[in-house]
Amino acid sequence: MTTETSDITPASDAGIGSRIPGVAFLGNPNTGKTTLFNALTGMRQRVGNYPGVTVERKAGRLKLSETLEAELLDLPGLYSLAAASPDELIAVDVLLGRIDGEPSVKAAVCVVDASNLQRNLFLLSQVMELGLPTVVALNMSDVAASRGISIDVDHLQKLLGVPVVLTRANKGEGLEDLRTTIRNVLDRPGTAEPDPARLPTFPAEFAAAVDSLVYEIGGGDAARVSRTGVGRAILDRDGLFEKRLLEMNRSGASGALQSVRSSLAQSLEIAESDLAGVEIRIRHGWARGLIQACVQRPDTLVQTASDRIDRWLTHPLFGFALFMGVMGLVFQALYAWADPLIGSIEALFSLTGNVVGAYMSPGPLQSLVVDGVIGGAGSVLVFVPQIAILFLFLALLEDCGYMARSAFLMDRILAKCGLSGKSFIPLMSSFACAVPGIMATRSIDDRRTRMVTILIAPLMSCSARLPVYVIMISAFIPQQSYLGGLVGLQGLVLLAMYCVGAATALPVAWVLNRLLDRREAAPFILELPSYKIPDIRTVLLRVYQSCASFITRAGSIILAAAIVLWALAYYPRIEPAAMGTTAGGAATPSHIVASQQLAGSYIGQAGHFIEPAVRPLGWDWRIGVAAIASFPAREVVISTLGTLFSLGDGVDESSEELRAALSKATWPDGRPLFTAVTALSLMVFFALCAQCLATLAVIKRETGSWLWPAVTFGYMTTLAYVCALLVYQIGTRLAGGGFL
Amino acid sequence: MTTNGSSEPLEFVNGGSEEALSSWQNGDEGVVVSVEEDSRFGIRLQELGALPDARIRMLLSGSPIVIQIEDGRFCIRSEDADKIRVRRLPGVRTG
Repeated sequence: MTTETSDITPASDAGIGSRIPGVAFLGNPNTGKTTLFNALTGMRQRVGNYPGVTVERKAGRLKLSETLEAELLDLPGLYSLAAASPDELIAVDVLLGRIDGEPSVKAAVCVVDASNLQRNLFLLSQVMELGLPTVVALNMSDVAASRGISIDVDHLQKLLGVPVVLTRANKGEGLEDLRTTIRNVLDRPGTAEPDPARLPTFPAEFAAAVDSLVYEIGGGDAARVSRTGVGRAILDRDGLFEKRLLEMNRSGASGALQSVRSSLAQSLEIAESDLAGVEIRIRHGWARGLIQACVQRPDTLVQTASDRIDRWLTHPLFGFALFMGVMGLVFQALYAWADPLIGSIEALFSLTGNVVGAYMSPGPLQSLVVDGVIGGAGSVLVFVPQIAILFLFLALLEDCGYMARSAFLMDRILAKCGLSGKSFIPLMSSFACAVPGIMATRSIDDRRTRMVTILIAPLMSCSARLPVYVIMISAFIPQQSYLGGLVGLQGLVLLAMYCVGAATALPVAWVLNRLLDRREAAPFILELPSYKIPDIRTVLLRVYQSCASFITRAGSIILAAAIVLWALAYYPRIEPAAMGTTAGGAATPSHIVASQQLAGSYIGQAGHFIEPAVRPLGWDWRIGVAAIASFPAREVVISTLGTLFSLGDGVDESSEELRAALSKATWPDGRPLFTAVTALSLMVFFALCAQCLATLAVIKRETGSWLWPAVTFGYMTTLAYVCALLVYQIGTRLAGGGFL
Repeated sequence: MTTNGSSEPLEFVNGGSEEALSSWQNGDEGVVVSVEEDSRFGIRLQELGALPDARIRMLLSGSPIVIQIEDGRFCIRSEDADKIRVRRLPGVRTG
């Protein structure tokens, strides 16, 4: 990250020079930090990614006076500067001013949860040691009060030596105080700088160890890691700073680090493995001292209302049933609420296309505008209703505290294949659409778990597969029923198709989990925050930002690719005269023209080219073309089949004509093209393939690399091909033997 | 298994004996004796406040489990719970 200079995301170049001071906004997770950030900056926020990593970057403008503005940087929630995850590492890097393109950080606001002072003060001690002017926002004092905790704020401020502002983010209280305090700190440099004498006292050997390692590896390299980074590398064995140091200075650093560590441990008379423990105990001792001096609290562990609610919500039976109910509601909303919205977006774009088309003369330009640009933009925007609804629910569940409980409930099952409870919501969402599902993996802090979840999410049977299933089942699967009409064969096949993806995903996850780098594994410790009423502003901002980032980031890739695919299906042009043979000289009907044009286009040629490869699946070149043309989105296969079987492209999955045309289609030797086995092979292919540009684009956007969409496409296409092949080959043999 | 640098034997005046957290039932309550340090899990849990003498309570046993350490509630996996050594306080068993 430190060497990243070229790749500056659009979001990070908006700091516009160094005149606007940066203020880092940080704290433990679940401190109300985001609510406070949203209350301070409102709509003046930009969301993006830090260059080259998957960590979300959120920044907002904070107006401090008529002339002074600050760039408030909302850092990922973290428990310690001993970074255990990429999110935490980014937060440390921003604080240390190690990320190019970021405004230089002039001050830090540390949000502290008054009801969890001990571990919040732990982080504060690390932040104050960086020497930045620091403001403490003491939040959630109402929760603390309800637990019988009372804090002498003035005394705490005196002992800390930096400003402490009492805030209640959920009520909007203390915002003006915080704003004024930040302004004062920025206006008068030198104020609010932490006094080392008030910070935890470490044995002199610690500083000496840092000095000697800096000397060993050379001033230049040490400066690139920073003194704080060198200190962390010594204390955190196999930590991210050690890794960075060794990557930078391969030759000498490893040996120097080892010898510095062992001599430090020797002089402190402890085991080397206990170095981090010494630091932790010193910091917690400092925090305990502050708490004893400033806080009155009950002597025993307090049972809160949250604990009483949790007895029900995390109950093995009742909690699980309620969880299933909540998930059912979300799932239902994704299908039912989004459907009319999607329908109206589609109608709007088709209307726009027709109107614009009518004002343009026929030709490449008209087709490019209508089919390429307007059609492509429509194919981006149809995802927005599902993304908005999903993130509305996710934000509500997250903000009220239920999300952590759902991860707890699902962890037992998902841990068996290397996933964690946090993977459940993204995977379930992917049954509606993998695009919002993959975006929802941001809440997974372990990098490997998140990668595995992203890579298997497209295997969940999304709503775009349904049209393919519906037409194949209704045309080629016989209407038999069993158990006196209770169970129908068609319904069973549909259910089987939904299970194919999920059943494949678990072993795939198991394999991926073993292939991916496991060194950076984050420990599974899931905080269960107190329940609270969701903050409406935070929820709506999250919905808005998810939709906006999908449209601007993934949308541009989808639109570009849709235009490329349009060109491949439009060129080379086939002169109508050359088609005269089919219709015996009479005016060729337009759908026949369209069919022949598609067959002769580059995509059509590709279909002919791959026919030998798809023949073993029971497909002819037309099905091959339809499969290739559905690369932007699976449901395109229906309209492509419609065009290829000369029905025009206005068909959908309920079209009787298409069903009839597919049933009548034959191989050149007169055998019927489609049988139940062919239909199954096609359905299995579409259940497992990665024919969805939006998914691949969003994987690129979320992982920051083209490698992962390529891996996804590669493994899913291979899986789809092999399984379709097995279905067809085994199916035809069974049918030949009279079993079907 | 390190004992947090403390070298005195584990003898306590009134309390119960040291045991693994995984042996606790719902509602059991006491203090942390030590956390295995040689793992990221152990380090992170100590950063979160699981230090010797921190108060700890089993909220939900099984797998994964939910524990309360001072004012925080955390879900951890049962295999990690073996890395936490705890001691019951006299007369506080409510489960």
